Amino acid sequence: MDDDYYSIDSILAENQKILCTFKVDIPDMGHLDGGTGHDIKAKSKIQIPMWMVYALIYTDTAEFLMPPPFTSRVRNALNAEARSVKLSNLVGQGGLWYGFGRMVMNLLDDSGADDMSNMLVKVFLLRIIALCAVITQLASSSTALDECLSTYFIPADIPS
Amino acid sequence: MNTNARQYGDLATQLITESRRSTSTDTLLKYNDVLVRSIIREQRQLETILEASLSKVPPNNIDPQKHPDILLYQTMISRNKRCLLAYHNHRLERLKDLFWTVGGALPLLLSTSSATPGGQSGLDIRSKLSPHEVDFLRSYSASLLTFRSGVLATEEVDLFAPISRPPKDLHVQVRVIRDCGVIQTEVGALDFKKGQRTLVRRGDVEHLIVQGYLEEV
Repeated sequence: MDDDYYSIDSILAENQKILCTFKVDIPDMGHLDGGTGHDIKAKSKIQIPMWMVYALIYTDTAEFLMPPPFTSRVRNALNAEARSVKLSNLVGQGGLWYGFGRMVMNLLDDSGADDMSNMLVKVFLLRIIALCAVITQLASSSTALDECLSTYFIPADIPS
Repeated sequence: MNTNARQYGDLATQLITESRRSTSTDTLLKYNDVLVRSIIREQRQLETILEASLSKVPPNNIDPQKHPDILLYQTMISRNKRCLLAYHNHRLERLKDLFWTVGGALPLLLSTSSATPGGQSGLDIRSKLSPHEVDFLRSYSASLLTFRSGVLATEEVDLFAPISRPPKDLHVQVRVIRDCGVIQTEVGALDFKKGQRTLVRRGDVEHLIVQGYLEEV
């Protein structure tokens, strides 16, 4: 998933929506949400695709909330045991957790971005070790993929 | 459910999902002229709206915070442009790959004939292309030919020879799929009739194998 201008994957990934709070009124733009409203009032929350969010953040017309895949609930669960979290369920269909995280990181300021990147790297490293174990087990014996995965990646529900 | 496409950027997403589908099924879909035209129409609408907003504002000192809609329209226009360019670029890459798999035989790629008996089905590509893409293929092939005959002739490197499998032997056993008549080779004229099996030198028949007249055994 490169940031190439022409890359089909990154264009599709940028279509992910993020919840934003608008700070100012914008006339005649209510249709961004799919509704037929005329105005966006300040302090209203709307789901905006990522490519629009960049422009809004840099001109300071909106603030965005940390999207669900990266809330502190998820982060605590990852801190507890990185291998038990089902990352593919967190992002919408066809979404990529790490790729989405990278894009969100671009929107944050320095300290937030540092935190985010450290978390992403840590989670990845922990899971890749388990993944390598799965691969070697798969290659050497004839157990099925599901069995191998279930021994190392024991999914647990994130407590709400 | 809103019936008119008031969601700017939806049409562009449709176009890009088509590209994604084309990659995953590994086929070249038909050029979606209708969708492209409607996206361009949407662009024009956005442009008129943008100009209308700009005229309401003093020419210099545009404070982005007071007029965020201008920035938003600008973003939407760039987004549509990016999607259009990516779609076309993706199709051109696929066309170039197809071109090289047939070893640069442009007439084969552009022919509209259908399946040959007992062999591979014909490449009915032409119906899926827009006229501009056909022009692109022609000029691409022409540039390559001038390059090949001009610069490369001195180097003795044949760009169009297939490189997917290195040849193991000087000769190759072939079976004739389609009639290609009398072919001139280095040792003389060879007559290929359908169903015949012959042992011939690789260099002579390579281009026929690529085009599908002969089949390697």
